[in-house]
Amino acid sequence: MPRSLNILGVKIERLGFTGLRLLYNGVYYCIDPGDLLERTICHYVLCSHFHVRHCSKDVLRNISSDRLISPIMGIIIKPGDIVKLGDVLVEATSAYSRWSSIHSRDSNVGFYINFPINLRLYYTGDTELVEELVNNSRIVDVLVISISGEGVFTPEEAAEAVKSIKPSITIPVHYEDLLDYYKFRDISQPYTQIVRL
Amino acid sequence: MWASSVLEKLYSKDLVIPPALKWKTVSIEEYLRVYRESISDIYSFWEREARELVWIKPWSIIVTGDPPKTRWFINGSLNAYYNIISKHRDNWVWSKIALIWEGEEGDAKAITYRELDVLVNRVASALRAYGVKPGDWILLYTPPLIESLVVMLASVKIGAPFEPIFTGFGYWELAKRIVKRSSKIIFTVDSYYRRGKIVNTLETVRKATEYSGFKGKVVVIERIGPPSLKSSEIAFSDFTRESSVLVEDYVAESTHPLFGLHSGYIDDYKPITHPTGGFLVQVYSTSKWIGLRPRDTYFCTVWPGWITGVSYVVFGPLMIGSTVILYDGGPDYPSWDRWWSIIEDYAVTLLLTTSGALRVLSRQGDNYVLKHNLDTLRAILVTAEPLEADVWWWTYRIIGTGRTPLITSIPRELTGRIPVVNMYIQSEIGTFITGNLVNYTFPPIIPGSTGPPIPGFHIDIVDSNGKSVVENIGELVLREPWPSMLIEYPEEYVEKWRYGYYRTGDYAYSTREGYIYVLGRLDGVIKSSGYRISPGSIEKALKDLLGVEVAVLKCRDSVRFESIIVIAICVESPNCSEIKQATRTLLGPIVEPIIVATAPLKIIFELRNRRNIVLEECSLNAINKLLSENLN
Repeated sequence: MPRSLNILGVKIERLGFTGLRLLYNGVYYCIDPGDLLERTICHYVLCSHFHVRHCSKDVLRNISSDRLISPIMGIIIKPGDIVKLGDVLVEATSAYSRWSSIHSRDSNVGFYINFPINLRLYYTGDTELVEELVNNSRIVDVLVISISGEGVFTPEEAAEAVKSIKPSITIPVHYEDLLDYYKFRDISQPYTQIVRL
Repeated sequence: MWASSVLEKLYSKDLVIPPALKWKTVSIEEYLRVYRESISDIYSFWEREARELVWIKPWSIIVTGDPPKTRWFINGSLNAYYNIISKHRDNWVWSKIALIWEGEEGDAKAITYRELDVLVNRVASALRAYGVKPGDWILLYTPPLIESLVVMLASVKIGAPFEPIFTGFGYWELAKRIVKRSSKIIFTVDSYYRRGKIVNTLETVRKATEYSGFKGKVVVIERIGPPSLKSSEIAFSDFTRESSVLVEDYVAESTHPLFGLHSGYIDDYKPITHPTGGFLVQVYSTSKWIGLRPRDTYFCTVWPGWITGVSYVVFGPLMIGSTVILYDGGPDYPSWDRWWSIIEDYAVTLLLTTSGALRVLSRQGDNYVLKHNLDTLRAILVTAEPLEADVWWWTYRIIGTGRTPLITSIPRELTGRIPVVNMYIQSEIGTFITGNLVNYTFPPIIPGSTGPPIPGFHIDIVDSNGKSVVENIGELVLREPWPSMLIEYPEEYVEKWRYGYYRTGDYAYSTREGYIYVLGRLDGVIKSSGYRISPGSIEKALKDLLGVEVAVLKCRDSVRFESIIVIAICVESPNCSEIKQATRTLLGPIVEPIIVATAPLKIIFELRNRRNIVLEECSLNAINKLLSENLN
C-alpha cells in the first residue's frame, strides 16, 4: 500500500482505523486520529464524533479549543457550519445512521475540507447513505468513505455513494475485513479511481 | 537450428477461450474474414481509422511513395495535443485521474486530466521561453515520473519531437544520443530509488554532457533532491516557475516528427523517428483494440524509453482517457509482490508487461501473487519476446483466475479466467501488430503464440528466397507499409525493404490458421529481458574507451531469453572482470555481460563475422566448445 497520496500539493496519509492526516502548506490537519493523536503532529484536529478509534476526550484534553473542531467540544459545529482553519475552509455535513445510537444526527458529522487550490476532500464520517448525502451537488475531488457496514455504509452502499458523488479519487476507510475492501473496490472501480492507503 | 528449440518451448496445440471473454470470442474463420478484408485494401482500412482522429485539414492523398519512403495522409494536418489530451476537455474524463505515480518508498501522487493540462501548458510555455522551436529535439533521461510525461506532452504541444532514453543505459549511450539529436535541452532527475538504493541519474547525465560536449541546458526534476546544481543546470521547479503564458497548440503536418528512439542494430543503436499523423492513427486504433477504455486503470510495467512504453504509456491510454499507473523501482523490492500490490491497491484493470518479467515472477512462488486479490484485472497483455507456453499457463492460472464469480463462471482451483494475450511489437513499426484483440478480433488463444496478425498489418513469414512459408520457420515480414512509416531511419532499415517487403529480423513460425510464434532475432541483435541490444555498440565502446577488441555473442538464457557474452583478450589489465564492470558503467546495467571469456584476436575477428551464433547455454563450457571449434 502507498503510505501517502499527494494530489495538487495536499499530502494525504491514513491515521489508524479510519482517520486521516492532511498536510497542506506546512500545516497538519488530523481527522479522527483516535489514540494516535498522542504520537502524531497535528496542528488542527477534526473530530466527526466521539467513539473508539475516532476521537476520545481523554486524548484531546491537551489540544487547545481553537485547534479542535467537533460536534461537542472545541469549536462546536453542526451540519452546514463553516470554519476557517489556517488556509482551509472546513464545512460540517450530515452524517448519521438510523440504526446506531452513537451515530446520531446530534453528535456526528462529516467534513468537506476545501483547499484554496480548488480541491475538495469529503470525509463522510460514520454515516449511511442518507438523503442529504445523495442530494448534495458539490463537486468532490477526493472522497474518504467508511465501508464496513456496521452503522456505516456497507460496501455496496458506499459504491452507491460513489456513483452519486462521482469523486476523482476514493479512499476507503473504516474496515477490518479485506473482503469489504475488495467488494467495494470491485463495484466502484469504473466510477472513480480507488486508492487503498 | 536454435529457432527450432525455441519453438519447441513455445508450441502448444491448446485452444483457450477465457471464461471472461466467452461471449466475445470469435471463430478463427470469422477472424480470418475480417483480417483478409483489412489487408485486401490496407489503404482504405487505415483511411477509415484515420477518421477517428480530429484533423485540422484532411489529407488529400492517403499514401505516396514506395517503401521505405512511403508517406501517409499527405497534405493533412492535425493538432496532436488536442487528439491526445484536449479532446477530453468537455467531457467527464477531464476531472478523472490521468496519472498516478508510486515511488519505491511508498509515496504516491495523482493528477487529473485537467491538472495535467495545466502542467503541460506550464512546461510548454517554459520551453518556448527557452527558445525551443517546432522540430527541435528534446531529450529525457528519467524514470517514469508524472513530470516526465508532462515534458513529453509539452513537447508534442509545441511541435518539438522528443526522445526518452532508458535509464538502464549508461553515460556513453546517453552521450551518443545527445550528439545525434543535437538537442539544446535535456530533462533528467536528480536521482531515484531502485531496490532500496539511490541511483544517481544526474551524475550519469553530467558525464554524458561532458563527454558529448553538450552546450545546452539540463533541467533537473527534483525527485529525492534538492540537488546542488551547476550553472548549465536548472531545477524543474525554477524552469517552470515564471511560465504561465497560454501556449497555442502546434498544428503539425502529418509527416512532422513526433518522437524518436535509438533502435538496436548489429553495429550500433541508430536513430529512428515516427511521424505525427500516421503514428497517432495507428496507436489510437491499436489501443482501442487491445482493450483500453476510459474507465480503465492501466498499469504498464515497460518504461518509456522502449517503444511499448512510449506507444502504450504516453500516447495510447491518454488518447483513450484511461488512468495510467507509473512507478519507479523494480518488481522485486521491497518484495516480489510489488506489482501485485499495485494492482490490488489501485484497482488496476489492464496489465501490460513483458514475457521476461513473467518468466522471472513465475519462479518466485505462487504465494506472492495469491496473497493479493487481483479481481479487478480484465486482461493481461504481454510483449517484448517469446512467451513460453508454460509461463503463459502460469500467468493465466495464477494471476488470471480471480476469486469473485462471473455471471458465466465460478473460479475453481486456479483454472484461469481472463485473457493473457501475447503481442508482437517493434520500434520501427511503432505498435503491436499481432495478438488477440480484446476489443476487436478475439479468436481462441493459443498459449505460446503471439496470436494472429492484427487487422491492417499485412504479415507473412518467408524463407530465405522470399517465398511464403506455413508451418515452417522463416522470417517475419510485413508485405505492405503501415501508417507510422518512419520518417528518419538508418541504412539498415532501407536494406530491410530491399525486396519490396519489410524484414523484421525475427524468426517466426505460423500455423495454418495464421497464429504466429515469434522465435527471436536472426541477425545477431540481442533480446535480453525484453531489451533490444546492439552487439556492435558494446564492441565499439570497449574499443574506444578501453582500447580492447571484443566480439559480442549471445546465449540462450532460461530467464532473460538471451544473455550477452563478451569474448575479449583478457590480460592483466584490463582483465575479464574489469571488462564486465566497464561495460556496466559505460553502457548501463542492462548491457552487462553474463560471461566475459578470453580468446586470441584472430578468433575475435572471426566471431564478429558470424553474428547468427546463439550458444544453447550460457556457460564457460559452451564458450570453450565454440572457441575450440573456431581454433580448429
